[in-house]
Amino acid sequence: MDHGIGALSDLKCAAVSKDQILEAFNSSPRIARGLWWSSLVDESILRQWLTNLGQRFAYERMAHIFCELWLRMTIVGLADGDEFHLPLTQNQLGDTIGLTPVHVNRTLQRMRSEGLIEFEQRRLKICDIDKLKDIAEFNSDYLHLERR
Amino acid sequence: MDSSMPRYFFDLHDHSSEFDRLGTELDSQRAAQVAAVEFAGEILKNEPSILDSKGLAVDARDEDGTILFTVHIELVDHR
Repeated sequence: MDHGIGALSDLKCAAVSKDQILEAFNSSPRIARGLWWSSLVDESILRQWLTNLGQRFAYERMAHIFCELWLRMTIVGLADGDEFHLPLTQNQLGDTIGLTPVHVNRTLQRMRSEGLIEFEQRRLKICDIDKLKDIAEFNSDYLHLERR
Repeated sequence: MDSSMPRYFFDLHDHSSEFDRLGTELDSQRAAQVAAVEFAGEILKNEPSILDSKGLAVDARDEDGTILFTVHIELVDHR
């Protein structure tokens, strides 16, 4: 493994052995195709994140992660309208988007005062998704959410 | 994070003042100085137009509200 994985909330996980994966690939082309698709999407998200971390300013960068998280939570049915559970501390959010905690705080305060978001009790509420998308120049194509 | 570490508050002053209500736990004043410089640098990088001849300052306060030090950034106009 070249990386570690941490969970922010309770989860169920299962171990699938390499042999089982290979067997699934052989017996079901649809599973093979699905995993191939999934890894292409991972690469696409990674490209977007390279841009996000390297080229976007703090305000746009934070708007971008909020748009992405909200959309992904919505697609899998884990958002409650414009709200979702986001158990990240400001430190963790800062680590994720490469900002100091003070700057995260400043950027959150700015977004709050502009009526874009509310972030209380580990819940993020998106108050103005259209404006947030404009700020982030968010285009969801990179998430490949639509069936083709 | 160790809760016995002191908490520092970083206020930003440009044309207006923005007070840090949350604070950051850091293990020493030196670490707070580095954090303040890093914060000022991030502000400059992300919002370069913030700096004009009025300058910009980041004050670091302790939990009692005493200002410990200031990072001051100036743009000096020579004409």
